[in-house]
Amino acid sequence: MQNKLFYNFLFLLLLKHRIKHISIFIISTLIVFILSSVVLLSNALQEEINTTLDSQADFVIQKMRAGKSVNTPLSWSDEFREIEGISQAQPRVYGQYFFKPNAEHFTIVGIDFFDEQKSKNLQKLITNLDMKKFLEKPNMLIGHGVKALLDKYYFFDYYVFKTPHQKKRKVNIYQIFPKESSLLSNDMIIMDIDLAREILGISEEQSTDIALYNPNELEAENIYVKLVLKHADIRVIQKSDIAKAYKRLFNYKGGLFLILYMIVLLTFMMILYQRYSMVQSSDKKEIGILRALGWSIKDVIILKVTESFMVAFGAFLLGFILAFFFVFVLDAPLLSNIFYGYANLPMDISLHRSIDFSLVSLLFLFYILPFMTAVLIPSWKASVIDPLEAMR
Amino acid sequence: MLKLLLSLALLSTLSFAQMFQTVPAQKAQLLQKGDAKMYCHACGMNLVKFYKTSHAYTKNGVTHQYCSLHCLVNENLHSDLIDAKVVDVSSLKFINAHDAYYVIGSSKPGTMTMNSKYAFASQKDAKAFVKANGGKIYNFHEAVKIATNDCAKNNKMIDKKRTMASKKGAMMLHKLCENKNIPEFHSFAKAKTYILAHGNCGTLKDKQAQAIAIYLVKKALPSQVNPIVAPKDAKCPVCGMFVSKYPKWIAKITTKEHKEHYFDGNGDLMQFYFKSKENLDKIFVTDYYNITAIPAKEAWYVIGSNIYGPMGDEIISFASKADAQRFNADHFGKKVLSFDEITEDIVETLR
Repeated sequence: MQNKLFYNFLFLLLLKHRIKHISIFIISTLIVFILSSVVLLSNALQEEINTTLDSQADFVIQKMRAGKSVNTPLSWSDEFREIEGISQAQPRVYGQYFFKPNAEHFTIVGIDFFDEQKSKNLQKLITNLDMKKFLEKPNMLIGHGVKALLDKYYFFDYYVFKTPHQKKRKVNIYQIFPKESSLLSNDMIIMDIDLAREILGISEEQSTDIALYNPNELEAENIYVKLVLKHADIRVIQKSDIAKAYKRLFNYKGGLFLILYMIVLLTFMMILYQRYSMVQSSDKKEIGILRALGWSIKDVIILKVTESFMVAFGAFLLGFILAFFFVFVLDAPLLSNIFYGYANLPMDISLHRSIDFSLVSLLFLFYILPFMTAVLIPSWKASVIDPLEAMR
Repeated sequence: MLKLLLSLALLSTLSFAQMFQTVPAQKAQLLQKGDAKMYCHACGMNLVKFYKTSHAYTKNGVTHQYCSLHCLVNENLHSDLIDAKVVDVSSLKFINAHDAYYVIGSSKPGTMTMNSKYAFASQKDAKAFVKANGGKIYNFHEAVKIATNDCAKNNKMIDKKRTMASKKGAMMLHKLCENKNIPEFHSFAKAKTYILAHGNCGTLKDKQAQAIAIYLVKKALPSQVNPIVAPKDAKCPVCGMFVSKYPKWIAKITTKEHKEHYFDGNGDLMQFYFKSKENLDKIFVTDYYNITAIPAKEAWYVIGSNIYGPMGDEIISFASKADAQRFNADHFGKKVLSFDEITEDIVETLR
């Protein structure tokens, strides 16, 4: 039965009944499109965050005063280096700089350019830098968001920062970092650590926080306990905490979408059921003729199910391709804002193209299965019509 | 022009003024002579920057100045230090160290030590300092004793710092300095003076010059320590598991015929070691704390801890005995052993 002729007949039928199928096809495409763009986007973002997290410190130490984090004394990093299992303790200097004209914040990051950089993006940036030229004068590297904002106020080559002591500090724009660098760099300004100290008002004996690196994560719990016991006013942030927080955020937002999707899908199944249950008289006649020609009930069911499978599969393919285009070529306008949440300056990133095939098959199952369940019973109902009665 | 110079001078003092030990350059007394008089005789650090903890010591008619009591003591161990001088924090003048009141353990940061030591000419000033910043008052003799006791600990800390600085210094020399044929040095202060005068490095900050000097003196960087990397398809000859999945536990044996065996844990390695009839050449195990390769015969081992490897109970390896003992205490281990102390029976009990 399942031969060329059968498929030929099937497609002829589909073509003939295209008005009947078109609305279902459009709605299905839309649903698949929305679902897969959400899944693709959250997956791509998670991947991005995972790669960023990989280069993050295993512990971040902050000093707390009255529930707020304050500058951490440098002497702490010497203490922490003594703990077995900590391979590196790196005092970091960074902070927000309030850009008055536009009432926005820049993130100033001070970097010791001769230190080993853990972030691959940063490492890449620095290896191509002419250090001598860069460090000779006050220079900075800025993100695209910062560049756009400074351009707006006609600061094309430099910007004059004001230190907390009301002193003016002119810093030249040395370079703008490449767009694909990462999620975190759009509102970022990178400069020499001493210059950053001056602009942010952090003394030479202090740093914003201390990053600790621990090569063996089996030891992490133990180190955590040792760190917490070192000082009364210490806050220890573990890498796993950050990863968890991100995961929670994405799972929460993704979960919300899943619930919405389930509601939509249920409604859609009901519509489908309704739609295919209404067997019109012309359909009846058609089935009657087929049965009279010698088709068995089984054959008619196969025909009907294949028919709706074709519609569903076509819709799935089209929806998924559209979603792929939307997320990876257009960078998911509108939808991405939901996932990024609050950001200082508008995010402007391009996502890495990656498709997880298990994810695609999951999407496929989640969509095709309910679809087929919804049409199975109507197809059966239609196929058991008595041929004599149908043709009468 | 004068205005510019003045503002520059102001700037430099302002940025320096943030460290407690630092004083304006014109107030600092330099007792030593020569090109390198700005720097500590022992460690090469800037004496103006660490002026308040400065010491001076005249031996055989030559005066050397040190940035801290630690440097003084460390360079002149077991010497009487009769002609030692120290800076009085209140007046910033050098006074005879034997008459000084030392405040030790205050909340102000120390130089070359975690246990800060500041000296005062008058007891009244010392008491006022203690009231404001904590700590206790000692005389010079006691202070030297404390510094001597702290020496080993401080040196360990300083060593770690120097290793890092030396790495940075190497990079700075490479990236900033045009003078590539630099002679060998044995003194940090001399290396620093040389690099500032003849290095052709542009305007170096004190910190940068210090790092380069440390690199020039220490040069012999600790050889890059790498983890053992197992090929993807390497299987443990004892248990048959794929080894590369467990980078924290890899151990490796190379035979004299250049055949390589990889193990997913020291337990399996030892079993193989005791049973094997091959000509074993090099054996490497992985250091638990740093995930680096260490020669098995020089490593220290802990058995019976609460850390489990891919094969369950494990013999865990460390680069140093101190590390192993620390781990033993932290993780309820049963015993710290050297390679030779591990017997076939011990390995058998782990199975």
